Amino acid sequence: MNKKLDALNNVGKKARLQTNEDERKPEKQYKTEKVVRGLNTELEKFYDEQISKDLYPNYTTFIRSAIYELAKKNGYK
Amino acid sequence: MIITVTGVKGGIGKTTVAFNIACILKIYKIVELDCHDSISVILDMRESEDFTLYAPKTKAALIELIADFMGDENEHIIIDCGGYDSDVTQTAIGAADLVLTPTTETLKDLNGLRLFNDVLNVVSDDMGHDVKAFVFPYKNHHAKRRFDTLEAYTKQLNRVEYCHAPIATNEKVNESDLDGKAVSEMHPTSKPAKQFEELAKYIRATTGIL
Repeated sequence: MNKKLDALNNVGKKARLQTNEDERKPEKQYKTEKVVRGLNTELEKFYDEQISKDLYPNYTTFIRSAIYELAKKNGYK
Repeated sequence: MIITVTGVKGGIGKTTVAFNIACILKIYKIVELDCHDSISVILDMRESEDFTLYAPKTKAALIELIADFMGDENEHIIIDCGGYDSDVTQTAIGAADLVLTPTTETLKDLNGLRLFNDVLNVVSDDMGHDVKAFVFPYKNHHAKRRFDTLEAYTKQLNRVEYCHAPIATNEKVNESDLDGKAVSEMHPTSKPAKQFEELAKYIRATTGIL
């Protein structure tokens, strides 16, 4: 097993993308950024207030678009 | 045991596969390597807090995390990679006991598969042993039964093996995502749910320990 771990340390040097360990995003805290969870009510409100139903006749299509907008509003990148 | 869901092309369905398989196999530990936070978004929608999500920010942190799972038949984890060739992706491939890659039969995705095969060759060289990936059809039309193009193409590639466990996607899969659920949880009798179950059976049979 140690041999495999040693090998892993050498893997990835030829990969196209070399992650810069200093610049990678901070570790995400699961459940601390409630971006879109439980926002169905808010989604409907958002739908009524800001989005034309004519533009999104299909509710699923609307939800996808609205999630993106809500995520942006919540500072989620 | 470590299962890595990967491929060097985006949009092939890695995250959906990783999450749905995790739910069926009851592997509630997921590593997110995709910088787009795809798994995180699905889990943020999930009511129950049964999953533990890991997002190691360095290759060293990834190795430290997966060291606990390597060689342990009772500890399982699923790694969801981003759709690009990176050092952490290659590390996740090298560490895996099983590598899964969904794909369509489109020209773009088949080309992505070819590039992915090159990556598998590099990882095999670095690891000093053969690293293979199981490739299965994904996002196909629900009525499609045969995948001759994909099957024939995989035979030309030395590091991938065709796995006949096709999964058709439809709105039920996307709707399930919105509730943070696997399609097998939300629409258990749907065709995609049954097909994910078939893929899970294949994984069980291949690994023998789940």
